[in-house]
Amino acid sequence: MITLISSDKRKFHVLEEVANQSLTIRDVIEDRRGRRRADRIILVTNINSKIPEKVIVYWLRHFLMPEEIAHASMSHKKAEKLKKWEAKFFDTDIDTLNDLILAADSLDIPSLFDGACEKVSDILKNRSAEEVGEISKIENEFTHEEEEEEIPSENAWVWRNEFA
Amino acid sequence: MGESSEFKGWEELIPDALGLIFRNLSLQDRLTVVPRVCKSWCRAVSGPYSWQEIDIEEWSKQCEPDKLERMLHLLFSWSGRAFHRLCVSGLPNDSLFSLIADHAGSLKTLELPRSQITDSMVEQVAPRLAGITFLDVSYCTKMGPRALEAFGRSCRSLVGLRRRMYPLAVADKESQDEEAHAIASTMPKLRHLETAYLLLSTAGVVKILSNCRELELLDVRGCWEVKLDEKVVTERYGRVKVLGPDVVDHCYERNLWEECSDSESVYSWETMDEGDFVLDGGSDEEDGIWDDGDGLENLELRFYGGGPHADAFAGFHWPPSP
Repeated sequence: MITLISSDKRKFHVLEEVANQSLTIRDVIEDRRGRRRADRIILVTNINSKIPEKVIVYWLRHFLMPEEIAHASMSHKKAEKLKKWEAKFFDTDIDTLNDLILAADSLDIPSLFDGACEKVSDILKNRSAEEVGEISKIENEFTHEEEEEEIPSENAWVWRNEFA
Repeated sequence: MGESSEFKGWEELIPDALGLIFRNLSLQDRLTVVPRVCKSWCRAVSGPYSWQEIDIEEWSKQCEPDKLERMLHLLFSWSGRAFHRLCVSGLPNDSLFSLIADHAGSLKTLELPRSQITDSMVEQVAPRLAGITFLDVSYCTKMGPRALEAFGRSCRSLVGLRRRMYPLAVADKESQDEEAHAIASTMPKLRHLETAYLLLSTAGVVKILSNCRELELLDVRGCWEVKLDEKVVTERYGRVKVLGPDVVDHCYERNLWEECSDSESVYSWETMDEGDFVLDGGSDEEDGIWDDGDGLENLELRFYGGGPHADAFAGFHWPPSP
């Protein structure tokens, strides 16, 4: 059993085999093998309990079929089911997705990283720069002149014909 | 920025995450919307992480040659030779092909359907494309066996080749069997070969089958001259799956091309309904695990450490802006 501890000091007990989906955790476990109880505790700082919870849910969903995932040999039905589940899993607010991306990056869980990034792309697709800024709460630091002159004209030639 | 100290805003997200997010956006979004959101996104979208794959096939189908050239210059300067896949339709001339080769340091998959590249240019340029493993030169009617041979000799790890033709484009030709010979004699490692509507003879295809022993899929749909005895093929070349020459709609069950050319991975799973798991997030901490300092410090995993966000960018050098 591995225990993950979040910044708000909640503990999450996870089977080692499940947590192994994080390459980072797997390496730590490997390094510490043979030690006493403390070996089984992994402290995850700077992250509130919401994210480990989600990560564990994700792990559990993916746990049973790692080989099929690796070799893309699952049946069509299963693939569909996974897709549906994943769509639901990633259907969350953009800040949570941001946290998930960072968690997936530092815990080294490639499929979670890709999935969360893809969802963010979906959210940002086909929007204006202003809408994107609003959604992601990014303040536009361009001065009015920069905005007017440089940026739009720089790449607008690409579509001048088709999208004028 | 967010209220919580944990939340780093979107403008500070690690560059490879931003790169991946931008990669899934349309070309138009990436070039005209993302750069206007904020300065760090503008930097990120004009950096190599966003352009590991350059796929402008759709766009290039309907653009003028001078725009295509401008686009390639722009994207190459952003990608900094880091792109490993390039997909352009209809290169109008040899000089752009040479430009591609000049930036092809990391290139693995090159798709240039409908391009006007010639045998002599391929012979000059191919040595600079030595790293590619997948090549698509379908509908390139100006090149022939000499070009294929040059590719084969230079690209020693080539495992996938697409050389399809439009039926009408080959109507005035007698035979393209020389292309089969070029393939057979210079591309022994091929695993995936598509030659739909190429004018091949049975002898040409047999030569390919006997020389390319690792072939898993051979698509000869529309190659009407080819008569293969299924039994013999199975006996002699066991593992290869041959499609055609009859034209039937067929989805490759396990498309090697897709698999090996860095398209998105596929995930699967076992049926497992939500709620089948138990999350033990209890707060029973009386046993003092928290204080069990022995060995703990080394186990600490930092999500995005306490340092300034600039740390996240350490080690990444953006290429100068064009």
